Amino acid sequence: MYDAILPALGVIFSWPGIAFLVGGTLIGMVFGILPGLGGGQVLALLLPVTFALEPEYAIIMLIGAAGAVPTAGSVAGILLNTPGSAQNVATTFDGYPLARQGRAGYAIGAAATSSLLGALVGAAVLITILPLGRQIVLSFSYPEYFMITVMGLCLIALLGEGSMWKGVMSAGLGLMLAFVGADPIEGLVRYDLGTDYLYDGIKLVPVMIGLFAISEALALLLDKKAVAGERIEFGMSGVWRGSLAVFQNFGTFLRGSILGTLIGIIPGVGGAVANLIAYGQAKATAKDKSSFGKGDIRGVIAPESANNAKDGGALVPTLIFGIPGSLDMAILIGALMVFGITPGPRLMLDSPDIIMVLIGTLVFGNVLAGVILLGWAPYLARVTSLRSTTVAPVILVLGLLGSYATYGNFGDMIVALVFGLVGYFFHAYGFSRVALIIALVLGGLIEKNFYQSMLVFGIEGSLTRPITLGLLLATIAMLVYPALRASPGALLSRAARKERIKVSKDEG
Amino acid sequence: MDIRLDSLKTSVTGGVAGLTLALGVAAGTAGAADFPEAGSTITIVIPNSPGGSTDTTARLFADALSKALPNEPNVVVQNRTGGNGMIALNDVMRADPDGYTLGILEATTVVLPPVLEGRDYDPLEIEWIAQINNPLYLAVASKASGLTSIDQMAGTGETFVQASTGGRLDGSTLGARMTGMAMGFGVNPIPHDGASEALLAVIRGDVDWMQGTFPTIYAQIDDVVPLFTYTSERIPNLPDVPSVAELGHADLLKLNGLQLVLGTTPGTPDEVMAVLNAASEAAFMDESFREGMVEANQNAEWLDASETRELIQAKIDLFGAARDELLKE
Repeated sequence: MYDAILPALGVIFSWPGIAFLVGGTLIGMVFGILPGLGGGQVLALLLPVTFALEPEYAIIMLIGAAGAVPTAGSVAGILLNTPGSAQNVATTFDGYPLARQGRAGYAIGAAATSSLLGALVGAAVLITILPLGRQIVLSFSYPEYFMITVMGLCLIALLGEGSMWKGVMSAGLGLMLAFVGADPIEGLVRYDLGTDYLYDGIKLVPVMIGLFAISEALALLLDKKAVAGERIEFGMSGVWRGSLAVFQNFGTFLRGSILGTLIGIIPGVGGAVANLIAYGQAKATAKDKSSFGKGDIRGVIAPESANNAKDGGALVPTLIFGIPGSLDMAILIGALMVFGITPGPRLMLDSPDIIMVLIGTLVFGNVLAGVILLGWAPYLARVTSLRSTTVAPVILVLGLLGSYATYGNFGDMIVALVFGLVGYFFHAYGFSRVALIIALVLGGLIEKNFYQSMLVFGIEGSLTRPITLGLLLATIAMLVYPALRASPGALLSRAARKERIKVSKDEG
Repeated sequence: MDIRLDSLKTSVTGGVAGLTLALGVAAGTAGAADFPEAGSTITIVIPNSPGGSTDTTARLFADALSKALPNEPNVVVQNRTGGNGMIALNDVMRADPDGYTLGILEATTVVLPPVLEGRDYDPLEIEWIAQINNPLYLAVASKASGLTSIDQMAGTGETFVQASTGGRLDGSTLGARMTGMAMGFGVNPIPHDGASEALLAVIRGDVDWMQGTFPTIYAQIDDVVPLFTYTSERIPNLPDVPSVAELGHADLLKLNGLQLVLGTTPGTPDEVMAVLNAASEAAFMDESFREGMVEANQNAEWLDASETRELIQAKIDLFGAARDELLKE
């Protein structure tokens, strides 16, 4: 398989391969920057075009475009609190505060560099484990999927935005929203208010755009201030410092990339979860957490490395089993099948050249996107100095267009507007928008995986699986460890006090 | 002269109505005569996202249809996902009946809502044009289940865990349950998001069996045990695997499978339908369409307008007859 590497590079870097790489990457970046438009849309748009091409060039264009989306998606998240796609939600947690401090260039520099390097880690892992990928994919079943989603939900506790009870209430609302629509078991429709629109449930993209982008536009209009305050860093120096920060926090970067790759490998979990889990672990493992959420560069590095690394991981089930880990991969499989290339165990034997073109494009497309973004960063950062009365209407229009463009459904715009108001009041009264969005992402997955686990394995069968048990213990440790480390004395004395109360009750 | 006012009113209204009708027919005929107009756009609505077999079929067919129609209009595919196919179906049902909005829909998905949920529409009202794709459908067992042939399931009355590709009331799940009823075994469906996740569960050995399309399953055929195919004869790729007709259940052919049917808005004028029917048949015979379908592992299988109606009617009858049994529990 590996001797196909050099010919593959020849295809990518000779004419017209290189033109398709550059073209695909640029188109992917535009889709990434625009909120609501992402990998699914750019691939759907390019798919009919590629039918006329040779399979290699079609793959170069499609993968180049899909790979550039998460890199460019960080831009709007950092500058305008408007994540370009669900894969970039976590980037806004610290990226936008950095932009407000006038350090947008620094944040974009870090995002571009960690995206670029994250993709390299993902591709390296992909090449290394492809021969073992089968075992890895098959060792994850319903109980493992369930525990991963539970772990994701428990991250809400670690994010620790303001009051714990408000966090729990926000997550509860998110879970309730996740249960709208056809249930995954019977297919019976719940809480649809008699409309076809709610049949598929509350969709993630319009809620995300509403909560983050539209609410921010409202806040900007009411504040009448620019995104950033007085001090704004212009020029390349901030951008380079951002790049450098990735190397200074190399542990955060590497953990984010590896987590991203692993989550990518597991079909059905996907990019929306990868960036959140990577952010959560970066915060959980940091010695000093106080600056997270207020503009900590590690909060940009972790999710951005994870969301690009996950593409490498997602190719494992896609190539080995023809099972897509995401919508992007599903469309890619469709494109391959049109060319008569069927992903599956035989693909590695029959067409190693195609696999190597794919991996090579993933690597070089991401490098290209990262470098372009670094070059653009100083200009993009200027957006934060514009007056809010100029920026807010643009965010509103882009946000509403983005929510409409994803599925071409008018109802999505209404949802975005409603959640714009919800987001505004959540922010004003200290409720957690992040907790709501995490619960909305994971609610449906938790429900489905729980049902499948119980039906096939039962409680005992699920918990005696080693990976499930390991994930359960890791989740408990993740929840308990910070409390123990913060104040072992306080916790012990609280426990002792509880014990005393219990004893006195028993006596009474 | 004694003219009664209300009779005068009636005759005037009648005259106006007659005139309107005449004008309407004239306009209709004029519109239908130049259907489709030069430079116009015909939209094919599909209920699936880009990339899957419906999307591939629709895009290949759109190109061929554009060439086959007079004046070569643009034919575009619009992915209207969601609502378990209802959003795309509504687009077709509620469009102007002028032939400019077509739908490539999955036959079972169109039939089930009125039959099972009492939704208020008649699947036979749609102006059916043709069936253009009937992907080969087959049942496979997991290696871990120890099953090697359908004889170990049929007639046993035992219940087998099935990796279903949707919820319990999804068309594919119901098809599998009716197969179980007909062959004499129980089906315990575990829902999955689509056929590829279900197939992975079969390969892992977490479930006993599943049914799905040939393009999805064939690449992994070495990791599963083929039980039977939903065909009237054995297929060349799997010469040792019995067909469902051979097993004595030819009726199940009409129930299972993902037949893709082409139709348009109820009330579309006959002249327009004639143009669409002829052009669709020409598009189906088009070399590039057929080659594309073969390359994409699809099974282009033609049924004309009346045969398509028969297929829809058969599904209504068969699912309708089993309705109470299916909704029980």
